[in-house]
Amino acid sequence: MITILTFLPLATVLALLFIPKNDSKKVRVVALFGSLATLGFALALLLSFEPAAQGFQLVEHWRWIPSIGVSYKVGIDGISLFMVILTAFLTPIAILCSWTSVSKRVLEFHVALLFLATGMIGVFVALDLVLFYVFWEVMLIPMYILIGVWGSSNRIRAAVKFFLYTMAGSLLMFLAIIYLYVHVSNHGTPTFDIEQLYATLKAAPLDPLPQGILFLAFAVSFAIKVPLFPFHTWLPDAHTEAPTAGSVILAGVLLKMGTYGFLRFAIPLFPNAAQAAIPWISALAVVSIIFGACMCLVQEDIKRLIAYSSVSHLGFVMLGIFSFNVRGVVGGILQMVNHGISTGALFLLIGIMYERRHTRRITDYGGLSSVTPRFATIFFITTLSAIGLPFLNGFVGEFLILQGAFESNKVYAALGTTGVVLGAVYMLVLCRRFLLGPVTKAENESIEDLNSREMGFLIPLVILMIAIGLFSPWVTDRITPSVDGWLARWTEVTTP
Amino acid sequence: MNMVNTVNTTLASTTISNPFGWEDFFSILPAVILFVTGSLVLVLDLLRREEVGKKRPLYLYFISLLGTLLSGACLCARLGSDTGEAQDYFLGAVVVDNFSTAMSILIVLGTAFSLLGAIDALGRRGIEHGEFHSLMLFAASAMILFTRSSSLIMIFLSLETLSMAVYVLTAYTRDEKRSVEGALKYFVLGGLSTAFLLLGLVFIYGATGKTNLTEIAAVIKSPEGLVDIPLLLMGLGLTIVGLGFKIGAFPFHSWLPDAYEGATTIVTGFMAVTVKVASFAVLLRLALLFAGVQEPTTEAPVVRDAMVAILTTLAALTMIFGNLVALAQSSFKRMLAYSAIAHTGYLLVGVVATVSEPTAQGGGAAVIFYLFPYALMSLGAFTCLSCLGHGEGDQAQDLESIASYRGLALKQPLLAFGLLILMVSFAGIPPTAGFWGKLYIFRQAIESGHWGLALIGVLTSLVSFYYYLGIVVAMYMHPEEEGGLRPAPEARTWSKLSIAITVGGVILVGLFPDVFFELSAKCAIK
Repeated sequence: MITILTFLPLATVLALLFIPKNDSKKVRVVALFGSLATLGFALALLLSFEPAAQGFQLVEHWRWIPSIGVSYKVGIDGISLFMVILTAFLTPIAILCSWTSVSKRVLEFHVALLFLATGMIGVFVALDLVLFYVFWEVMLIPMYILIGVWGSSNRIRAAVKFFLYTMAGSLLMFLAIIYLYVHVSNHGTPTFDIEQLYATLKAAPLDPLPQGILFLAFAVSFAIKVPLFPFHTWLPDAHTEAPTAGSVILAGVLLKMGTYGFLRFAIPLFPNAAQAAIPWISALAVVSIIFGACMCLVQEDIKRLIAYSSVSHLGFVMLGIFSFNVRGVVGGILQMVNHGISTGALFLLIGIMYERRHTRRITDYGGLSSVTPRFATIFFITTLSAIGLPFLNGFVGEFLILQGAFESNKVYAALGTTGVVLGAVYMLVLCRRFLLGPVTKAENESIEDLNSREMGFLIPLVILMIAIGLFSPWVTDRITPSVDGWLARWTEVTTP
Repeated sequence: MNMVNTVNTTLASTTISNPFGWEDFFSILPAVILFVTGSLVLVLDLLRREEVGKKRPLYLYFISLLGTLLSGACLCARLGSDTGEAQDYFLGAVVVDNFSTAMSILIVLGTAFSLLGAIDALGRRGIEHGEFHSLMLFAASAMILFTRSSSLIMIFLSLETLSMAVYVLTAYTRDEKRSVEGALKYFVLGGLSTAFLLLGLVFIYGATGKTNLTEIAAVIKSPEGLVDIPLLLMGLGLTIVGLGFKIGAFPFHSWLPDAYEGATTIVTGFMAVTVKVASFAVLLRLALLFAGVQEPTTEAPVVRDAMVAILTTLAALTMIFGNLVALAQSSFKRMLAYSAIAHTGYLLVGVVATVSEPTAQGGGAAVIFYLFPYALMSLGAFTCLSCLGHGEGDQAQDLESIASYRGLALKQPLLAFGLLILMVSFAGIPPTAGFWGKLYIFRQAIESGHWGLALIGVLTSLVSFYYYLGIVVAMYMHPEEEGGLRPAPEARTWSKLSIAITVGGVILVGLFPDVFFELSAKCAIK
């Protein structure tokens, strides 16, 4: 089932190739149906998920390259479940939001987008280190092309920067994977299966120095993706230049791969090194939170502002994960989902407005609430969700994270809290300048409000924001057992 | 005195009447088939000229292709039925083992694809002479012998034969200035390298008193210590220099970019694949032999350490140089030439790993594995280039610039997609074949403790992404109005076929590499 879910977008790509190239309407419809079917499968996955179980579920395990110990193994647990659903959820939205804004090379656009979807789902379900690496890289090329072909004016530079940054990290991880393989081969059967890797590394731990280096290689690779300060510099460019669909996928899913990588690979594979790195990474997380928020305060480009807010929000996620207690980690995972929803929605809204006015400067707007009330309402709800207002999704995540961080280190928690305040400041300032006040520009007086297609993909997001805010236990109940198991394994190895 | 005696005994043993049996000739059957086909084509071409027909001599291609197919079938049958034992023929001058068979298959593959691409490339320019086909077949035939040679004399003879054929092929478009220039440079430097190689072989002979490789190894290993180690090392060093020229290792690469650029693109592809495969085959065989694979004795580690040191330096420099200089190229063809140098560097890493821990590394399986996707990628890329960059003289040079690929994705989406896959594979990004090649090579490097080489390899790979993606940027991201391609020539049927097969192969090997991992382990030097 997971295999079908993973490769359904790819199958849709094959179907797309049989459609006449000029019939862009049909291309869009088929792509949308393919992605909706994927979403359907993802929801079926949610229903068949056993909430109380700790280990991996719905595992599918086939031989792939037995001669070097690589197998095709996929499965999910509470950590990856919602990432998969988020991916499947954002893909149709990305297609819908490009319905009119992407008009050139429509076929190629959807091919890249669906290819990307397969890569992203694959990253979250892969339970074999090499399989994971393959998906991790596979998804780079379509993203690179999405930014480079359908982006705005500086797109090529941004695309190349994005690619080289990510690749620099990936290659270090590549070497580390090989080293790990050699180590494991010396202590048993050669394998890349992560469950077996966990077991082998527990029985025959790496020496502190190699473990530290390997952790560093993995951590840098994932930190670039998160992005953790000071590895964040690719992000504002990539987000700003990417087309709306690209920004949504980047912010919504790609950034989570970094944090997910920490949870699934870097920390469990090298627990002692991770323990030693707690102060460093927590400090970087706090710096990301505050630095990102401060950068937001001075941005004039709305997309750049949202991009920097991602740095800040992902800093929270990292802070939660590296608090190493149930609340912090669960909160981190929940916040990954929340950030995908609310920041995804913000990028969608900005994309919609950009399509109408072709500018991203805040000063070009003002007073939109009187011209486009529906737009303003949704924008405002999304803002409140992003700054963590109670009863909306962001609140639960941030609260859990800060609670967890407080339990393990009060200083970081206190510093992180300032990020919440700053977040409220920059987002509300943005709302004021963007939505409130008088309409200052004549061009803004005749902006069309959201049409039914746009409402169609925004309303589900708003519903999710409220639903997760009100019924968060339903979500956290599915995350917590896996996190318990994850923490138990970590504590067992790291407590002397 | 000792040496003279050995020579005498060697001579004495060869004077037995009729020393060669049918099985000897059968052992080089693939080479014989290619040679006979080449001669046949030459004769047919002569007959054709007399009848002054203006029809295209397509039958020349088909006969040549048939020859390569037959030869390839022989090789595959041999590989399929083989027990894995190396067997000596022609009094030990020729050795047939799985390794040489695998390398020969790659050579035949390269020849077949080059011939396929040549149908369009030569036809378009109206330079379809029989010598082209026969030279290619002669070269391939000599290369098969080269991979199978197990005596110093055989190595030299087959190398000379193949080099001559390739020199002429490089200058095949003789009315083009850069073609002749490249060929001359190749010829002069190639001659120099052959001199080095010959000197090296002579020194080895002088140090050991044997020409047969197995006997040389036995002498080196013998406990009496008869071998003049400094002389042997000098000989080995010179031999590596000679082979280093052929594979294009830094600092012996200077002919390569010019020759690659000057030659007709199809010939460039042929050179990039077959010459490299053949030279790596011999390099690997020599290196493993002298590294004392079977039973290292007291003397062997000295030789091995020296070889590891030389090859490590070469590998590191070649990777760094090839990748950095490729960055600066504005011509796609020259960029591919420098990327060919870079890949020589990666392959050398595999050789180093194999040599430094011969018992653990499975006799160069990684090198064998790497060469297969490399052959596919190079053939595909040069065929694409040949399709797009036709024209003569200066015009051809313009059409080879990276800038001229702008907007290709709009005009020829399939071709652009094929090139995208090939570039991704060159860069070593999964799920393409190139990724597994790099994985295998770097794994062996780390296993044998060559951390530094693996790190350099990875860092230079990062550099390589930039230039491989430069093509992708040009094809996909630059709008067609910026400079842009000429009215892009339509890729013809045969080139399309060849590109489709190579691209499909790259993806297939990328998705299901297991068969090839096993095959390359089976074909490793025992």
